[in-house]
Amino acid sequence: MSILIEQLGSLTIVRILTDSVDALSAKEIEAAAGQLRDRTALDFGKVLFINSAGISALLKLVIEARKQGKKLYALNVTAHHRKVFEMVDMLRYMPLTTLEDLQAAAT
Amino acid sequence: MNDVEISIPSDHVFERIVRDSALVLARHMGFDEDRTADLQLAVSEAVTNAIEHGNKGRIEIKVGVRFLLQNDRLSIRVIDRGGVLPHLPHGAQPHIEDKFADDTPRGLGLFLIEQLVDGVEMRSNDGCTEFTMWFDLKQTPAGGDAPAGPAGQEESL
Repeated sequence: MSILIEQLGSLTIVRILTDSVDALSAKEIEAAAGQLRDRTALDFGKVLFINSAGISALLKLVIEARKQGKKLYALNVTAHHRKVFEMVDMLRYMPLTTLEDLQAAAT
Repeated sequence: MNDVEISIPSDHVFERIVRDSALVLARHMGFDEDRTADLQLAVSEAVTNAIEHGNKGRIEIKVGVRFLLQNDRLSIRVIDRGGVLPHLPHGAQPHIEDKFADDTPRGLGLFLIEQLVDGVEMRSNDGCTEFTMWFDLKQTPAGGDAPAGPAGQEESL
């Protein structure tokens, strides 16, 4: 199991449990596309490595969220993963935030 | 000893072995955290490319990886049996919107490699493709306790 889905009110948290978001874990991460709510946050707190195959899986979530008119956010992203996300312009569609900010926005 | 060679079957599970080897190597050489992650990612992308596009995922065909420390440069050569040179984007920023219409949005690996390493070289010969990338050690901040070797000499991994 690579992901754990949690509901916090109107917010869905997709906790990525694998330390590698790569070709091997991509399918399970893509499966989160079926769990998107109005606001969904991906928690990268346990992730140590992301490559382009993993970014591809994340892109599929971004694409699905856009199709459904839903918002996607990223939590607990390391400095290097942030650098890589910026290189591929990912943060425009999956902005970084904190759980506190998301919860505050909901109240 | 100044080089390390690894040979893996063309399956993604073995790419993780090469990536872990890159981590050990980077820490041994005293790369800082950011440059270590750059090395791991660049190696992962090159090996993934060799598995998928070079050897077409045929597990019985090996991908060869050679880490070579020479002068002020760490080179990583990835060899597959595809015989086709990959098309480098030469720094062109990928348009993420273009991926939105794609069911399998890929094609970021070579772009990332170009952003992360200090140089890339490719050659195709006798049915093999050799993809070599390198890190200039003078530009690579040390973050650990590795000994710094004298310039102009081969150093030990």
